[in-house]
Amino acid sequence: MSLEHLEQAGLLLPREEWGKHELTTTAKKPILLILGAVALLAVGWIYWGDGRFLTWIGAGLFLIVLFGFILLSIQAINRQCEEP
Amino acid sequence: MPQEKPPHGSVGKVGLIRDLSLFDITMVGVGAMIGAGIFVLTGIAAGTAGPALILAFSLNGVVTIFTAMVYAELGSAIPEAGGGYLWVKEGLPAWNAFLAGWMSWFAHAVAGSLYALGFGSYFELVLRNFHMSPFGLSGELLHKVLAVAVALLFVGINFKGVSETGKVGNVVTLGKIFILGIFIASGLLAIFRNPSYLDKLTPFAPEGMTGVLMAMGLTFIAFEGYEIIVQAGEEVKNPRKNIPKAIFLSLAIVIPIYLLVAFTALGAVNPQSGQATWEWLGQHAELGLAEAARQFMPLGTTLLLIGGLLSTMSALNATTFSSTRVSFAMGRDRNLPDLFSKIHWRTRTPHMALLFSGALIILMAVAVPIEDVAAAADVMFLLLFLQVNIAVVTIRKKYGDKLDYGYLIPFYPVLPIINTGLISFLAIFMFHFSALAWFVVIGWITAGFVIYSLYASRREREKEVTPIVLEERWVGPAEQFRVMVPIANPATAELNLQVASRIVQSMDGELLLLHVAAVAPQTPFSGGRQVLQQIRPVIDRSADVARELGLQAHSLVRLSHQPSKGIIHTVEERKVDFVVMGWRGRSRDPRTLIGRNIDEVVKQSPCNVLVVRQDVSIPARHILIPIANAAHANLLLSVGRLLLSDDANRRITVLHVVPPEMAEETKQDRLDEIKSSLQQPGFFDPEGTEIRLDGNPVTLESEVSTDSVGTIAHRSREFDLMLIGSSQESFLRRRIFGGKPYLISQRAACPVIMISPETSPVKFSIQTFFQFFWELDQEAKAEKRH
Repeated sequence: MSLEHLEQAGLLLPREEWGKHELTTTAKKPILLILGAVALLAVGWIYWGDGRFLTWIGAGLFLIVLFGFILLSIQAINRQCEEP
Repeated sequence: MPQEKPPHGSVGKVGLIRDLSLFDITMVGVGAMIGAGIFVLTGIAAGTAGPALILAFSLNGVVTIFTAMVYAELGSAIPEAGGGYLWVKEGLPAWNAFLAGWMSWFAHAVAGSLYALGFGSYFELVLRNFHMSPFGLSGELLHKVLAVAVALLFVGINFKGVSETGKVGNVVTLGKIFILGIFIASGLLAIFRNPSYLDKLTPFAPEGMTGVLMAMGLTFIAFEGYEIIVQAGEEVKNPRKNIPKAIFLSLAIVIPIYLLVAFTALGAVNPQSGQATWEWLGQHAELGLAEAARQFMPLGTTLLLIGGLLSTMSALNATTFSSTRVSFAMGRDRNLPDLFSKIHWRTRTPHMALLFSGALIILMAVAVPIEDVAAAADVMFLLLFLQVNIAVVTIRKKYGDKLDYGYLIPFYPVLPIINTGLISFLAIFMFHFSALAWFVVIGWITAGFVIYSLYASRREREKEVTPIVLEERWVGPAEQFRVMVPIANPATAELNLQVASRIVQSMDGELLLLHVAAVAPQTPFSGGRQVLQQIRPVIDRSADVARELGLQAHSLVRLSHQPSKGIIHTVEERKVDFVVMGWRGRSRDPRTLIGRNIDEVVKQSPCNVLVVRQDVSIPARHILIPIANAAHANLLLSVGRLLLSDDANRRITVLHVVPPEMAEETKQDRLDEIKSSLQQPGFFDPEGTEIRLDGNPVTLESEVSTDSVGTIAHRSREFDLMLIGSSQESFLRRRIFGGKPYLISQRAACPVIMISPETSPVKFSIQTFFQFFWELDQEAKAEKRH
């Protein structure tokens, strides 16, 4: 697939817009970083909890982080698609 | 079967209908993930990891999310049937794309076989519970017959069309989510009533991290359903938004379900035997979940059996769908025969790709021990994801902001790089889990390489059309030594023909005159006749020159958007041994070294290429051949001997310049090596003829100097012609004739012929692979500057 093919398939932006967009994510990176750190902590707790209370706290925290991440990603998609 | 008709309104490329909504495509992903993986593998994985199965699922979730982000970015920007295969094709050298598709097709089909067999096991259990034995069949045979029957059923459903596929799939997926929901709710209730059950979850990881990693490998297949979402890219409404959303939503549904299923299965059971719960689940293996349900869930076994049947069916549906789309995309790209890309005129489904994928699913289900092949499918998915993680980086470099992204991964390129490491580790660790799986993978990949080199690569090249508009040939043996001279201007071609004629005559070979008529990039290849009228005098003049030199020439005229492509196609198509090209002595384009077309031909042709500077005069009386080491010394000397005059004073001086700091012993060893290479029978000589270096006419000289380029340039004053080979420096540093050979040719006082020797296919492939990335980087930098 070449540039021409992608253009024919309607997958490229109009030529006049080339070079005018920054390829930066619309996701909130600081929050993602915090979520990533909490996810690491959660996985650590799952393991080090050795099947006791801390393990279940870790598992619960992991699920919360997962939902937070998904929410941020959906928001990022909406923002990206709304961009002119 | 109805007659094949061309799809209505199709122009060139065959397409599919966009009728999958966000809900439909999310269900496709969920359906693909909640399949036999969770129903069949939970018991086995619990027996491997212990209660740490929860950790294994969490870690698989992390690895999956990383790759899913990459899929979301690429799926939103290039939503075409083929998914991962297509992006690898876009972002990595051609053979990677073929292999990615080849592996992806196999992985999805084998996953389908696993689900068909899973269905067979569950259905067989249902029949056994009702004491039924259809047609007197039982055991393994019944199991296989049921697997084949359900595979055929879903081939039929997929043939009906994507809309019907989606509807059936949605119902099945919702049904199994409902059953797993009851399982989880009942389990949580049982744990709430008996909190002491949780004490049995200690020790948490009885097999340590090894057990966790093995369980990760075993259950990884249950997390790859987002691959199937992007396979359906061409059939999704508003794909830019819906594909990335569907990927994330399906993971938001599936990962919590997996964690909760593992938690309840491990926590809500109280084995009467006094065993640890994880051991008890492991003992019941694929029926572990159904046995757990019996303990705490109303109508537990029955509902779980229904859930298992629904799960295996929806996963089979999804994998039949995806394997069909991959093979369809490969057929469309001419990596597989054209019939794979056919679309049925009525249902608008790729029916032939479906037929072959169905056959592969059934064959694997019937003939192969499926557990190991399923593990092989895991490794193949991992290898595919590995390539996609690299492709996301190269595609961004290649297209920049030209693509219309619906999602961009954060922390680029760190995230795909970390993910590449994680995936590689997991794939390698799978060897520990199943060595046979890796052997199957290697076997399948090797088969892929063979098919690619013998079939797909040729067809791929044919797709880059450089049509032939005229071919005039004399009848000669098919397998003949061929020397090709690309001709643009008959005035400058004469010298190249003289050089070529010496090689042709010495080998009793064939001369091929190629004229590539360049057509502007956006212009179609029509009007070949007009081109031919313009080029006819050039062809005739070149053929006359060849005749004057005593050669029968074979003329070929082809059209191409880029002359180098036409030349390279001909080299590969006609198995050319030597190409002789002319060079003005400097490049007019600052971005190229010798010239755009020559650069490309030297880089991409797997044969010997002679680049003749236009001030060369042959035959030459005194020829200088600077040699840095033994490699290719013999070829250079052989060409030199062909171009040498019959004069009594003729001589060839092979010059080896060594730096003064080189140890005497090393110096002598290197000189001996060069001597030995030069003395061997020459490239064009009959067997057994040893070359003497006694000055009659060949001499080997060695000079000590700190400036090898300056010394050779200085010595070139004494000669009529210099032959110089491409350097043996690292190919990353060298780039065509870069480095010393190019500098020497620039400073030489006499005319120069540069020789790029034929490269071994393996070395050539490796060079091409790395060159791909280097050029991509250079192009991106150039565009940025521009």
